Amino acid sequence: MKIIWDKEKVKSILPQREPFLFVDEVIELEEGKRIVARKYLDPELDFFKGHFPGNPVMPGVLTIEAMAQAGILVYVTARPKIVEQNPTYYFGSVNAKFRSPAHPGETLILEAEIFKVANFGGVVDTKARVGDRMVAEARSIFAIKVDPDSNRDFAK
Amino acid sequence: MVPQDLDKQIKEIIARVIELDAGEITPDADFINDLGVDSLKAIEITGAIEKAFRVVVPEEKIRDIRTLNQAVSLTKQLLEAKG
Repeated sequence: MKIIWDKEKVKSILPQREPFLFVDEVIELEEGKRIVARKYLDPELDFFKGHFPGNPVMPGVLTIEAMAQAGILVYVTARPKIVEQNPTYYFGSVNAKFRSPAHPGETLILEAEIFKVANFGGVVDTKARVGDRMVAEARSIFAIKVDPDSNRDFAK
Repeated sequence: MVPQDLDKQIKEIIARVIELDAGEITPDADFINDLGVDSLKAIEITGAIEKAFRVVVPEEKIRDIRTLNQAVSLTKQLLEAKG
């Protein structure tokens, strides 16, 4: 499948870094509307050791985080200039439903669709799936605060 | 075209988004001070109105929608402008 945004591009937008970066690349993009991203669930990811020993599954809270990161990416396609203003993203609320577990070695497909955006926040509808199997669905609402004078540089 | 029951439809949309009984949403109840809505929930209310009536609420108006009456009035204006 064609990679639209590679990991370096993703890192130029998202402030999260390993081991808390849950988007590897973007594989579909409709600017201002929808993206599809993916995250390979490497069996070596640290959290699998404890969640759970002998029965590793992706923690639901991290699935929500992965969907939220995809949500930020789609938000940025609607408000591209926000990246230049050193934004910080704050979760406002999330309404999630978990459908099935995701396991190490699987690839999480993250779909994020804009419901409504404003300069100070956004509402996105997201889905996480493995192949055709739905893992979770969520509506995420987040706030954005910008700091144009900051010297912070996410790309580093 | 402006639906005759626009008030009722918008009240139901708002009630669904903020998870309150529609009866609690009086025409002039302030979303923030009376109904516990925050500015982020206001974005969701706006988005829900946009999708229901196929209108676009200008960004600068989002924070101005503080009551059911204001939401109805703005939606009515947008629908009339659309023709």
